[in-house]
Amino acid sequence: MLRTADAVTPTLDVQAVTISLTAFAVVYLVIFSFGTLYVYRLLKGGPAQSENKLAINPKRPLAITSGIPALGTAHEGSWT
Amino acid sequence: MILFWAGLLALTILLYVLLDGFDLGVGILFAFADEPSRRRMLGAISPVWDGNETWLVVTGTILFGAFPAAYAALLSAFYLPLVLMLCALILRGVAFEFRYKAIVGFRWFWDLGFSGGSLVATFVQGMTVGALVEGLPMRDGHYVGGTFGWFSPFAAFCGLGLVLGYSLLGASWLAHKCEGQIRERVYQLLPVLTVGVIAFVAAAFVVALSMHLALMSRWLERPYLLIFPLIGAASVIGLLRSVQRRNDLDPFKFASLIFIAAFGTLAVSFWPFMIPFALTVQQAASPPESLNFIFWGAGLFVMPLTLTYTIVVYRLFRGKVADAHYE
Repeated sequence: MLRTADAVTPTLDVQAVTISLTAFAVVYLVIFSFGTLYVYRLLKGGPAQSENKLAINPKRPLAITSGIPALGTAHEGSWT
Repeated sequence: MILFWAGLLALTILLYVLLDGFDLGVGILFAFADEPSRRRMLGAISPVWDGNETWLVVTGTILFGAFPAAYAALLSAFYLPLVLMLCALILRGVAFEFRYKAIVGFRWFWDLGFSGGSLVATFVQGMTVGALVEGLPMRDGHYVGGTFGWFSPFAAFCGLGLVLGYSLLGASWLAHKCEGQIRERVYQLLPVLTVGVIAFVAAAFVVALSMHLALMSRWLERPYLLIFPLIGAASVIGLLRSVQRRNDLDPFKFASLIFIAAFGTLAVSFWPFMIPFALTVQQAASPPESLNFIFWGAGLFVMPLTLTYTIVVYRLFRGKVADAHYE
């Protein structure tokens, strides 16, 4: 079959792999740190007094809480 | 079956370029807008941008499943730039939510991620195409260029060209989706961007000729290639006219047509190669058994489903972005 050693990309060196691993680690560290901070702030703020939850885009759970202008199209209902 | 998958690959790449092209373009233009405009610009792409990026995933999947040799060569060759592009796309993706969650004083950070991410992702895509046109260092269907073997001034120039191109797509999308001040500014910007794109294409053509790129001989071998510049020229005229008439729908159609013409030029010049003069579509393809197997799942079910989803989303969120009402 195919050994792991034979499957490695021959042109890929340690330097390139180090750079990519570091880049992903930094990006995710930044995003998850701030994400945790923002979720913490939301929890601390308590439930929002929102009446139009149904109009919110379900793909964007973070947008359910207040603080974002509800944008809508002229034809359809509003979405954010 | 190889032709089916090659055609599908071409379709997904084209759809990705047109769809994510305009939202990356909006991301680039975002840097030059004020806060109320920025909210509307985000509103103009927020329901569709992640669906648009799906086409990049589909492109990668087809390469992986149907053309593994090309997948291996391309991802080895462009390892660092593609990692950079992914980081850029990640940063611009979270900006949609995080910029509203950040305290106002820190919003610049996510805005920088959004605009910078769009710019970097666009540049990398243009550079990749430029490097392919120039020709990658390949031997026996494998990439042999090393970590930075893809880089060249010509490739970087193509990266800048695509930044202009996506900005044009983005601006024409905003003309379609926005009203008032943004629409006016975009109409002023569209002729400038159009001229910029024409200048880039002309310059790239002359440079490619002067570098005696092997791909340029295709213009002599296949004179019917000329049909594409003609389509492009006609689209440019149509685009400029629709800007003059302030017809909100047409600029995007004509800008897309310019991209389709450019895509057609490249696709016909490359054929039968997938990576010019190193790997043909035939050589890159999986064995017929694999191609048949994935046809029943991915080809017959997933593709139509994704297409339907895309059409439904665009129908659902058609029309102008309405004024923001603040809570």
